[in-house]
Amino acid sequence: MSIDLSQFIPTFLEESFEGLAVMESGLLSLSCANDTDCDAETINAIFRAAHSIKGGAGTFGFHAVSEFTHIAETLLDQLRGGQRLVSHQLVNLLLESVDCIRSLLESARDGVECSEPQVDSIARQLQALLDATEGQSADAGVVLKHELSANEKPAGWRINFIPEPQLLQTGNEPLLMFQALEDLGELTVEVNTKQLPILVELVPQTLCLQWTLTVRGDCERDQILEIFEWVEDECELTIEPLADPMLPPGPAVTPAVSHQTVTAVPSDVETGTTGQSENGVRNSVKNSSVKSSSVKNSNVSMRNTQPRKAGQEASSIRVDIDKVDALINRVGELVITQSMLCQAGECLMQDETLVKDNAATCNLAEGLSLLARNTRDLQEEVMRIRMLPISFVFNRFPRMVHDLSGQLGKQVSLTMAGEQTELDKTVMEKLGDPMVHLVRNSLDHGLELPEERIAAGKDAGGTVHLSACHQGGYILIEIRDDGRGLNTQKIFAKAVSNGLISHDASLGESDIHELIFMPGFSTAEEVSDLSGRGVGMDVVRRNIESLGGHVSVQSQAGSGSTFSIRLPLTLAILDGQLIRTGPCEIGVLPLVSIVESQQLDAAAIRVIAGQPRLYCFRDEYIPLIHLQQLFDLPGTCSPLEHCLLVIVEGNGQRAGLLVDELQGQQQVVIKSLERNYRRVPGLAGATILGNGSVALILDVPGVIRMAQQQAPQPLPGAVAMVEPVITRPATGGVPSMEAVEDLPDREVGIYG
Amino acid sequence: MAEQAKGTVVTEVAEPCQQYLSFMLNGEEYALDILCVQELRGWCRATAVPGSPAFMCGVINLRGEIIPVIDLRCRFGLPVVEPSHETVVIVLRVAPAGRILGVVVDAMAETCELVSNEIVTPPAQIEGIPAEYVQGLATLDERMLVVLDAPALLAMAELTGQGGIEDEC
Amino acid sequence: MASILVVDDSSSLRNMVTFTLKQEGFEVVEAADGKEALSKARGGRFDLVLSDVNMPVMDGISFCTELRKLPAFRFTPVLMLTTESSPDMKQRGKSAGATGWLVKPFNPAKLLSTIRRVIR
Repeated sequence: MSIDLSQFIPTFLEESFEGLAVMESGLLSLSCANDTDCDAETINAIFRAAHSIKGGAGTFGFHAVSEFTHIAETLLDQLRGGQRLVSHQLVNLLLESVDCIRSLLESARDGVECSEPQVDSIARQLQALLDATEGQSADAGVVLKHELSANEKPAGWRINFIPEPQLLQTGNEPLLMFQALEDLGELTVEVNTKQLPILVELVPQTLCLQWTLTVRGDCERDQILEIFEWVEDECELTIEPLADPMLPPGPAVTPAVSHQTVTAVPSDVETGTTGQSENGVRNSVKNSSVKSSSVKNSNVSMRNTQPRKAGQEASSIRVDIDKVDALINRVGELVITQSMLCQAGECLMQDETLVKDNAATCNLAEGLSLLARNTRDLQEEVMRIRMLPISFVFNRFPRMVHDLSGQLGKQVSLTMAGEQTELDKTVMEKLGDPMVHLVRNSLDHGLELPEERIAAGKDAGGTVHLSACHQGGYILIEIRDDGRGLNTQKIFAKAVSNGLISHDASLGESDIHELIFMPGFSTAEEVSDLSGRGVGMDVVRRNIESLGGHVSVQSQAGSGSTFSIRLPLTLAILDGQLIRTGPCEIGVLPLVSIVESQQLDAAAIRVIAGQPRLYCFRDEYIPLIHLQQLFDLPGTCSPLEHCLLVIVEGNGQRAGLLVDELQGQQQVVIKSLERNYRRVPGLAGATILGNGSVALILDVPGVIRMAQQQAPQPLPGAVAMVEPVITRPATGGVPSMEAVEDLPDREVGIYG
Repeated sequence: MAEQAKGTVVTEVAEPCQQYLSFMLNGEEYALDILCVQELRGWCRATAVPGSPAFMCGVINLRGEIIPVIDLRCRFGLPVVEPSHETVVIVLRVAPAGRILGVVVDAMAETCELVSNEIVTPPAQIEGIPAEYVQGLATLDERMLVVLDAPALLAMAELTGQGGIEDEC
Repeated sequence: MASILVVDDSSSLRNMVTFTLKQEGFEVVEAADGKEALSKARGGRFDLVLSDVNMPVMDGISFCTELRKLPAFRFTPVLMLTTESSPDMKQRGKSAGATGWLVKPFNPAKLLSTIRRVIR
């Protein structure tokens, strides 16, 4: 039997990690529930998950995992059986066990020794709990086994088997058991029919035969016992070693029917070797096996008339992500080929020499448009394979909030909405860290201590709300708390002391809130144990933007803050606007970044220091960015009046991009520049156009940042050299024109 | 006679031959380990990438992958010429899943076998060519070959963005 | 060829069992819990049922009890796949009508040699 078990291990691991998540969320709901009314189904679910992990781990040879899980499972079983009560302490211990099992599994997966010091300590604590109440149970089976495992090795065994009449009703079949015995050695079977009633009294479901069996061969008592294992409570069974290796006599080679012994109803007493085939034996015990053969026969007939429905069982399958990605890449290539074909087709059809009503051209045009539609549909379908519900990210937060609120002495309830909103797996993976940071931040700084909340006239317990929903091609994720809100004065003061702005800068409230995303804003003073790890909001923003998304904050002093993350649903394709800058360079602007495209209105241009710097767009001054100059592209710049203006938004700011020409809009497959080259400022990647050439995809927030660095805006108040992100006129007018708001007095941190 | 033959065999085992691909650059002959060459392509226009060093022609589409192409003349400080029909892009890749780089050279020459002990350290720095890209010098039929180090070319800091040229903007 | 119904909520276990049985030429139908298994049992014929004990929706013991109520399954061998071999467990299995049990963890060879005791 050579079956390579390793092929099942990835599935096992995946489902075990899911099982751990089930355990974790179950345990968390136990810890929230009233101690008295624990939901039995929740405990059951937790138990089952542990149980499956243990079973699988044992099967696949991860003994460290199965041993550890066994202890936890035993405790859970006691919880389930009511022998043990749910306590906060126990739940926490079990939660820590979940972590241990996870790291044991991870080590098993990576083929390394688990180095997590917690594991031993938690195992000891679990064992101590068990030992304290250990009664009898569980190990009895093992003890029984040991009792029976005397390893004698005589020439064979004589077995007296007197089954109880109901033995057949559990589906046990003596014939098959004898066949199994036969695998152990040469078998002789004697049947005793003295208990057999007369035919009219015979109940086919009862078993009235008794047997004496002799097995000759190199086998152990345990092996025989194992065969009778399932019926040992339903029979009298004696197993004796054969004294004389050559006794009793029997045909050593030929199976065939042998001698007649035993008494009572003469004709019913037969012996035979089972090697002679099922039929031979079945015939010999015909009376008592009436039921058996009739059932078997009906089985056969039903089987013929009722073909089984196959293929209905699988509603989902697990597929290696590499296979999906390979498929997506291939479809990407197909899209490129398709647009190449369409271009070629269009060229052909413009050809004068081809007659207009030529049927072939018509067919070609029709075929190409069908191809285009099918390709697009195919691509959409394929992209959806990679989509997963965002609960994969959200799921970690109940545990985190549970742990953190305990450490912080805060009462926090976490609510979630839209967990089923789907998102590309890759985006999801990269979303985890920024979200953890934001949630920690809300708990750590946003929410107040219970007494503080009561003093402010709020409930003692704070709320953190996570939500997700789709908005166009984007997913919108919000992290909302009802804490103290951002403290604009503190933020302002801090930005001044960190040299980000000058003390006399006049900024609107939302501009001040934006400051927390600036590099250099977060300092060591800010970094606590919890929200710590030394990363600031600037890193959060950069991470989100590297995914082509955006993060912003709205905050109301005293009543809380909301962080909003907007992300594209996928990183693989993009709806793009093709633009031409300079004589020949084609670029792609993500459609989602474009607010509007228009002819340049010379009257709206504001010239500063001899350069057209600002543009008045809907009563708002936005910076003008000349792409050809910014990127230092070859060729002479077109005169301003020939340029088109594309108003874009990124980074919470708007800007006007000057381009030479707007070409078509099309969906493009995003290709990495980094794979073979490196990250390039201002570019999000590249794509391949229909003609096979490469076009660069612009990173709008990056472009805006570059423009600010190359030509700092003459913004009063801002210290010019440090990345003046505060050029954020989105609230109307240039910042300098805004009135300084009167801000209420607030305390600690950047929060109120 | 028998002794001699035996001696030769021993030398060959100790100093195995390797195949090299030689090419022309400004009238000089260079060579690269053939195992690092994935393929050869004719010249095609590359898409310029802003913010790249001057020797970087741009990126091209290699069967769906975007790969950078560098002009070796420019990198080695030789006079830049317009591409001709002889111009060739040598596509380098060291590891199966490793980075890919296109290198523009004037023309292909031939494949040749060099014994590794015949490749000697250059007596002095070759003008214009950074020493790290040179594996050594070899002589073949009285011509001198500059043997280039393909892994070093691929690891060029300006191409990987790891040299601190830029990272943040 | 004999057909076997495999019931387990763990798909890796199920995969392993199914794969092993199919290699031996058995026909295999899978179910992820007792309820699904029961409905598959109603719609088909099986020569052997292998069922996990701990499963969501309907556990293996209840499943076995229900299965025995179906006329077609009165004598069909039902083996419980269990991680415990305690007398209590056996008793519960037996009283639900199970034929026997197979203690997890088991390897493919063990699985095959064990089911040979109830199906040939």
